[in-house]
Amino acid sequence: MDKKKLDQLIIANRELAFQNEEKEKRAAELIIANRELEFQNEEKEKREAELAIADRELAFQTEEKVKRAAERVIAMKELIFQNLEKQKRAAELIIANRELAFQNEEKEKRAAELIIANGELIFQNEEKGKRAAELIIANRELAFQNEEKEKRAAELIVANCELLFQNKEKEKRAAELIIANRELIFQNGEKEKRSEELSIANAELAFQNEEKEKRAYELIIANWELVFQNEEKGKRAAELIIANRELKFQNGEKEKRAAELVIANRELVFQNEEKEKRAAELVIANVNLEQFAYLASHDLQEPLRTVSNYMKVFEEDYLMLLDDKAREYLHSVNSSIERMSSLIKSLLNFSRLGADRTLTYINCNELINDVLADLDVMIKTSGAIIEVTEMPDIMASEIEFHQLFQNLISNAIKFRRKGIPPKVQIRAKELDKKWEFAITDNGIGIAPGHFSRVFEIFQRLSTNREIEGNGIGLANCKKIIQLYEGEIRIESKLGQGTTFYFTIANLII
Amino acid sequence: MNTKLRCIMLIDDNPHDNFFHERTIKKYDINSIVISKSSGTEALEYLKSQKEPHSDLIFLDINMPGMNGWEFLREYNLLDEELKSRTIIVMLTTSDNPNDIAKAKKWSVVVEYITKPLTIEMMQEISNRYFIQ
Repeated sequence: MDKKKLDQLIIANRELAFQNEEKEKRAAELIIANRELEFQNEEKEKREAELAIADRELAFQTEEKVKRAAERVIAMKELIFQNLEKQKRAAELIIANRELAFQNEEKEKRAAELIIANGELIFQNEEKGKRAAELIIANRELAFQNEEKEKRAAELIVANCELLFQNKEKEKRAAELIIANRELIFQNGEKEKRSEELSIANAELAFQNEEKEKRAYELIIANWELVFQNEEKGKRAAELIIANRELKFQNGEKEKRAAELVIANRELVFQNEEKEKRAAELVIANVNLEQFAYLASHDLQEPLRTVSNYMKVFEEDYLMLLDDKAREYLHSVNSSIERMSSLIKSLLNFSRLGADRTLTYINCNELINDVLADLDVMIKTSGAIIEVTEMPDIMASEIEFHQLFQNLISNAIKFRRKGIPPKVQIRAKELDKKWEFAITDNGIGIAPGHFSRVFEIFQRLSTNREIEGNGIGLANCKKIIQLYEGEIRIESKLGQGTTFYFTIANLII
Repeated sequence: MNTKLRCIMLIDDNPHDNFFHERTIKKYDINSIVISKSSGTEALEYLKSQKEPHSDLIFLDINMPGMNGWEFLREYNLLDEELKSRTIIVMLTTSDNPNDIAKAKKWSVVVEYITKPLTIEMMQEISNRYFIQ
């Protein structure tokens, strides 16, 4: 490479280096300027912010001013209005003032006139005062004259009245005299007539007198009669007074008696209540007794059966080991056991009566036929004749009525006279709401004294040896009949026969 | 029942009754086996244990202290069906109360109701009716 070219290149290089430095300086200056600008910018932004605040302040102040201005306008308007009012008022006052001035003038004129008039009046007053004084004097004079005249007038009026009255009286008297005159004339005529009539009347009176005397006599008699009657009445009154006292006394007695009766009544009510209580207690006691009878008989049966069973063991297994006496004793024990067993069973049955109260329709003819079938052996062996009439249908317990008829019919057969075949009649008839049944036999009869005893439990009239029985049959019958609100009674003659009557309520209507 | 009457159980608190009934049963058939129990509880114990001999017929009393006849029946009813199917019960009691009779009829296991004392005739009838001769 040539030198020139190299130099040029060096110069260009230097030039470029210089330019570079310049550019670097310039860049540094630009950076500084830039920073300055940034600072200024920040300042400007701050200033803007401040300005914005100031602006807002101004805006607020402006608004306040506007408001204030508006208020002032309103105040102004108010003042203007008030001013106008004042002006009007002033005008009115001016007019009123003028009026008052005018009135004042008028009043002053009037006052002047009044003063003049006053003077005139004072003068007139004085004149009138004088005149009045004069008039008072004149007046008094006149008043005196007046009084005098009035007195005189009054006297004249009185005199006048007197004259007038006298005049009238005289006229009246004259008129009266005329009338009296006429009357006298008329009376004279009348008296003549009257004297004639009086002579007739006199005759009449004489006759009447006689009559009256007669009558008086009669009256005297009647009087005596009345006196007598009076005395009688007096006596009677005295008697009545006595009778009255008697009645009062009796009344008092009756009241006492009534009071006593009230007390007695209360007592009876009390006794009644007591009886009801007692009856209720008896019902309970009765129920308890029945319960007791049931339990007792039930529990008695148990050991008795054991005894009876062991007796059987004896009879079956050991009889051959005993002698005749022992066998006889054993037999006695056995029959006693049987009897006791039968008693207990009867007692059990008796206590059970009424326990089952299921009532059904029963045809009594059918029922009696059943009973007769049960008693067949007894009827045949005794040769009994049984007659049964038409029997009703009833509402009852079949078991109870079976027992009832069986007891009565078997009794009728059982208590027969020796050698006479028993004849039993069974009848029924309807009474008022009741059925009455009758069982008649031709047996030994019952003494009247024993009628009630036969219905008591375990009561027997005959001894065991004569007739079998346990003394419970009729007690059963009575109990059954009582369950049907019925009654049982006896008609009997010793040695001729007995009829048992019983009634039961007819529940079929 | 298609069995022969061989073993009979008596349930009664009264030892005398058990004695008489056993005697009657033996008189009817000397080969019969009789098991006497004096209470329902004892009887139930025996039945539950399934001991041999097995009872073909039970005579049951009603009125007993402790467990009575009805209470025994309630307990008995809970027993095994197979066991029950081989046994019949007959009420044997003093009570001829219709209420008791009606009550007994309600129990299917009870076939008869008889009142004491047990007789040879009764035994005959029960045997004929319910067992092979």
